[in-house]
Amino acid sequence: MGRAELLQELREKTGMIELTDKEFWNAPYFPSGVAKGIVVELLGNGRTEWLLQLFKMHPQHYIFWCERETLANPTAFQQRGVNLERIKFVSSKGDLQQPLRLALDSQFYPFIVAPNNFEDIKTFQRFNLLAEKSKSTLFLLADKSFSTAWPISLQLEISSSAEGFKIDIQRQKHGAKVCE
Amino acid sequence: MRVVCMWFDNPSPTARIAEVFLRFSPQISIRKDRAIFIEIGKCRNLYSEQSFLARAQIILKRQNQTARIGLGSDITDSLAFAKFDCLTLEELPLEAIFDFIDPFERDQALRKATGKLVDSFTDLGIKTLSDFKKIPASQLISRFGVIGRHAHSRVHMQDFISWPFWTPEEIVSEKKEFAHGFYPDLEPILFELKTQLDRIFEIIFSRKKRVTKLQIQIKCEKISTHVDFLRTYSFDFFAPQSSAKGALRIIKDRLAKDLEKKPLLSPVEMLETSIIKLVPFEGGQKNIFNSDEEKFEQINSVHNQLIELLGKENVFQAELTEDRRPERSWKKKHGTPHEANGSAVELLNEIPERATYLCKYPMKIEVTAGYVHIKKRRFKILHWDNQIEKITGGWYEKPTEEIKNVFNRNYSQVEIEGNQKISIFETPNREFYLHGYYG
Repeated sequence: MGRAELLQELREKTGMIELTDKEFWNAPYFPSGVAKGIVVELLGNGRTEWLLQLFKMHPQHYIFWCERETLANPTAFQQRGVNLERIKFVSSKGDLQQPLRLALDSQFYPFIVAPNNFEDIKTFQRFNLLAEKSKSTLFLLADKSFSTAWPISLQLEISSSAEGFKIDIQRQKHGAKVCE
Repeated sequence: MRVVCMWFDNPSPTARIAEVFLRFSPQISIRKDRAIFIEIGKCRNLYSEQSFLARAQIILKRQNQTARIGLGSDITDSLAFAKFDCLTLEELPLEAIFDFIDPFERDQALRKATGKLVDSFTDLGIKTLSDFKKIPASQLISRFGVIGRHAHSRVHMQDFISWPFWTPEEIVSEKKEFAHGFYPDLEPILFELKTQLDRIFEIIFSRKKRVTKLQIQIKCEKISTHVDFLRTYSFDFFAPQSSAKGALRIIKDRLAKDLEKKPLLSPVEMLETSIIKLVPFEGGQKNIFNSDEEKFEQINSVHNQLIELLGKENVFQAELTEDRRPERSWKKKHGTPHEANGSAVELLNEIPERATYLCKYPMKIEVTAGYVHIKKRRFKILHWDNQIEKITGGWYEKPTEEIKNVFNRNYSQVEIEGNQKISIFETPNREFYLHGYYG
């Protein structure tokens, strides 16, 4: 067995081990589901619409929506079937790390959404550890390109069209699992 | 009975000021934020009226407060003298009758009826209280009934007015002095505060109370280079706190932020934690079968921390309104977190699908044949939706006047290159604005 094949096999095995530990959210147009307790990065013109569909599928959970300035339109969220009572909006022009850490630490928000303005790898590492501990999924909305930070477990490029969503997987650490 | 009344023209902390006057007399009452009544007749062997008035002026000056002082034989006349700056009943205008009838401003219905009485007598040319006093009771009763009788007896000082019970608010406080001081860092301060908070919360728990306002004072060693050696931090909690753990989290955030900006430069000599305001709560054993209440308290604690960190304006929930304009179709709600609201959800079925993001302000754009120009960049139009939503209004608010704030917009959904959907509107002047985009 060659070195590359051996590495591949080991990766698959570790992936399988990680997979067994994780629980998954059912997600629209994404049969493998989104793992709980990870950091996800989303890109593309359909990312928010897709995210709202995901939230609609899990109506009993609270959402923490963080922005640099209030641009999200709550009326549209309600129209997409996401009850506004579930969402706590937070806007801060300063560093978003602290409110995000607070939300992750509190373990009340299974869904946390924030813009991806972070560069330091340690920040992502911290988010990853906190998300894992609280089983919250942190969705970071990227602007132009994906981050190269390794603690991000899932990177999806989502484009919307008349038929639905087209999802390109850039990175998926926790293997592929088809939801029931 | 000799009563002194201090009347504050502007709302003032009457409870706090009244506490200072407790050394003169135990019989004190307050009219919330506006007046303090002190009975000094029984203490005439301890001090004279003149000496009391002189001392009161000095105390008010020290408290940075200004008040007019009236001295009378009861609550009613002392209040009227202070309020209208008079010395005798004859000088008082008829409006002073309000203070005779309802000195503690507790009965709005009574005040309304008194207003009618004052209006009637003013029309009849009776403008002072001395003129009013000359009217016999029988005439007042025949015209104004029970209000007339009440006014007559109050103005002639025939009624006994009971003093509303007032006691100073109890202050729960923990203070520790350190003979040699300790290193002025956040961790040791929090360590000491934890002990103080634990003790305080034990006391208030036994009284079935929760904390809404708390104050912490840190006193450092006084040295010439450390001007800011005495720090006071006031905490006004969004949700009442019942445990040291929750409160300490909020305190930690504030102290960390402040000490980072302005570090303490000399050893800490004293730490004091005082409870400023308490609210009652239903105590009792924790419900082991239902954790909803505990969860609610924890959510409130997180909410508190977020407010402390980002300010109240930046932590909110959204509530729908009935306004059709996208930017006004919702409003911020700063109440209890995740509280159900009766917003205008049913209206949503009647309006077209909105863009998931709105521009902060509508951005002027240009539309040419097949292209949209946004911020000097050109985007090819892939699809222009023919369904137009017309939003217009403002005219109905003041139909007879010219209104500048009239809006008249024709919204269209446009798909531009990159399959990006945007929401633009056109005004009657054929100007186009970008108002939102899909996520």
